[in-house]
Amino acid sequence: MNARKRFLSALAGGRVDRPSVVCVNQTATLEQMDVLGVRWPEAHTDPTLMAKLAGGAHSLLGFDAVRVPFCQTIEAEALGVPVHIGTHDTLPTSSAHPFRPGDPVPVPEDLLGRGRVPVLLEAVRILRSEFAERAAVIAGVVGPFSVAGHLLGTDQLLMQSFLDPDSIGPAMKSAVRTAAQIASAAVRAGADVVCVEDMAASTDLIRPQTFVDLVLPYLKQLISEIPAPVVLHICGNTNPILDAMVQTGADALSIDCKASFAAALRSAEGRATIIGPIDTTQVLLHGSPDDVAQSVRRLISEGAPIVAPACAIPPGTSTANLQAMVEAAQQAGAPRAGTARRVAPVTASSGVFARYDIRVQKGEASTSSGIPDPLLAAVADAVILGRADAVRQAVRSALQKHSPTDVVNRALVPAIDRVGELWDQEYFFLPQVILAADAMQAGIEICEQEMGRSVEKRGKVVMHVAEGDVHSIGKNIVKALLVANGFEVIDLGIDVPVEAVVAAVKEHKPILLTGSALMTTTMSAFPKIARRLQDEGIDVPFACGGGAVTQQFVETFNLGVYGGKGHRAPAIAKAAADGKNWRQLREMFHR
Amino acid sequence: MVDLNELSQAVINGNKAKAEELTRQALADGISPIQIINEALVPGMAVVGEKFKCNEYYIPEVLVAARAMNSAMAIVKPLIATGQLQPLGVVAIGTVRGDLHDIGKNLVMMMLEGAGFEIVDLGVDVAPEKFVEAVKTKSADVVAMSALLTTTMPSMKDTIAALEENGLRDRVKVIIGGAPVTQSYADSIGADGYAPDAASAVDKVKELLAA
Repeated sequence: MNARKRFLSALAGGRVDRPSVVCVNQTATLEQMDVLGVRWPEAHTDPTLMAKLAGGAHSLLGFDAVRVPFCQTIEAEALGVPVHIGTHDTLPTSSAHPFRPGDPVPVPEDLLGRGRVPVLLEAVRILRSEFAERAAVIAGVVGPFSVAGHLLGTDQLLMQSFLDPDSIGPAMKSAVRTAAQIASAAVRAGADVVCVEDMAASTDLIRPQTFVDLVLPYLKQLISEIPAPVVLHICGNTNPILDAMVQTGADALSIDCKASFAAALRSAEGRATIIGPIDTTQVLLHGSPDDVAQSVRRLISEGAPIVAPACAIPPGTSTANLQAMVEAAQQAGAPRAGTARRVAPVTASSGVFARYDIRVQKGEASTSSGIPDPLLAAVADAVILGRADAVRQAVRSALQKHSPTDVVNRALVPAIDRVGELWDQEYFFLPQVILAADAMQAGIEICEQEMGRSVEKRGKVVMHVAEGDVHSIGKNIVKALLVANGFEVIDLGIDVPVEAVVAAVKEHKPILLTGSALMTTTMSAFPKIARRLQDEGIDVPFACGGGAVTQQFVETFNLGVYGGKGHRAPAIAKAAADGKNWRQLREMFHR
Repeated sequence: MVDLNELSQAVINGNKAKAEELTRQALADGISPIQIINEALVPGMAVVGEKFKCNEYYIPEVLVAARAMNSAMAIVKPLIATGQLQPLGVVAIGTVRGDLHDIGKNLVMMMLEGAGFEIVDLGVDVAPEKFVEAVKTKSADVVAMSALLTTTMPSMKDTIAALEENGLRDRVKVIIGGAPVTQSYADSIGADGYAPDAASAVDKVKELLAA
């Protein structure tokens, strides 16, 4: 399981090979700065440096996600608050508060071009292309109460929250619009997850009722507008507002170690994922790697699917201590089945995907299979929504009237096909695809039992991702589609050397070989593979696809067939199974 | 005759206008400024501190109460001859270098002032040398440092080192606080005391000076 998949799956309450380790707040440390040769404050204003320093969270620490920015002043600055950029070991802070309670706070038309917003968005783009699937990318935005604190001054904000709550409305509204726009742009730039930090909304500062009355409605509004999974981070002892934090609609809550993890877990059960907090001061900054490991183990045993520093990582924290988090999680291994149920009973149907479904809900895409037969449609619709239990039930009903082969070919396969389309169109995220594939498998198993035999395999397909390339999503989609269509898949995985591909083809004698490459630097392995196969006298069609691959490129070498978008794979494989050679396949599928 | 309890209550409720009005009336009734401070304002803030400590009050209420106290204090203070009001001690207070968060520091300041200490407010983003200078020139008995960020906490240690280098460490008590600060952090950097909140800070400073 790669890091990105692990974190996203854990976030959605899905299966993981081991608990995920991330930091949803700032991750830079002095030791990382030394190794990477990038320092604050330059890394706050230069996107390349910001991305380079943030990348250390994965490349040096081994965390499952990288996170930008480091500071909490970008929104306020874009709204006109002056900012001190800080030093090599301190963060930017707002240096004046230009607005008075009740003042209108105009959100600039060109907000995304203001201050350091473009730096943040470009850094997200760089991280996305650099880490692709190897690590998740988290974009941080600051929550409305904290932005209002920068705009009005926190003491003014706090006093007005008591004396005249209406007077903070204009600042809160503009803060929501600002953060929503920046978050949406960051998701478009490639962020997988958005972390909303609202540190001033802590019950260390305000009473729980104030949070419910004054902060919750704005956070709800903000989070409803973010088109990606949202982690809400609030510092301090948040136990009294945990339920309200869940009501914000956030998919996961990042809490401080001052809050009780066990209580939070109970309170949010089935409604949001709780990220287990490691004490940043006592343990990470001042403790030993053993202390860190002990904390991680305790949280995991209490049921944490994700472990993270309780707040921003202090820059003086040692790399050894941060790496100890990852090592302890690795040693913990997969959550035991028994605890997993207790820990994260969040399923697709419990609303954790509400975030992902925003565009679907807005009518931009439909999750309906569009199959006319109601029994088959019920099966397909449940697959698309990733609801395995519903799929089993619907398949049993459908089998009353339809043959198992029909249920597979007219419901399960079209459903996963639709999932592939939704993925291609970027309406679906990885966790949904995984759940849909699992749900489809559950349906296939029942059909196989009914037939008294395995669904007949149409032939073997060997799949791989090019050497040097670690992008497996495209391959996994194609794999799910091929399996669903009854092909036996030999998956060689990612970063597969030319010789290993050739050896696997010789061993398995597939009807089709596939290769995917997301990068132009790695797709050059494909002609080499084709030449080596022809040297061995093997004439297997070699379907190539992935971001960098074009039809023109594929036609430069023998055996190559252009795979195009992933959902064409089953048709190519079927034709290959019918005995079509690579030249015929090109005629059929090339433009 | 003005009821000083009523003035205390105005402070506790954060009613600035009423606190000012009652203070002026009290003065008109011939109550001495010192009596107003000691029997109305200080006890009022002490109640606020208690309410804060037991989570009955949150920071907004404390800020509003302190605002009422300060405006009453601004009326009576000019009427007191120098030396007449003997402070419990002089506290040099500031938020450490790189950190611009002043709420915690201001709360502690208000509570200490309300309890009868003289305050030397060094503001925010205070470098170690500035604390040293304040101890030298203002004869501070206590250095109080606040940090809200894990990123700025280490500056507390730097300040203690600077006090040592200047041979001032034995002359002052050092107390620290702020969201990420803990007792064990205080111990590890050689601070004399730590307080988890503004009300406890007053007790802690009193305790340190009595020792």
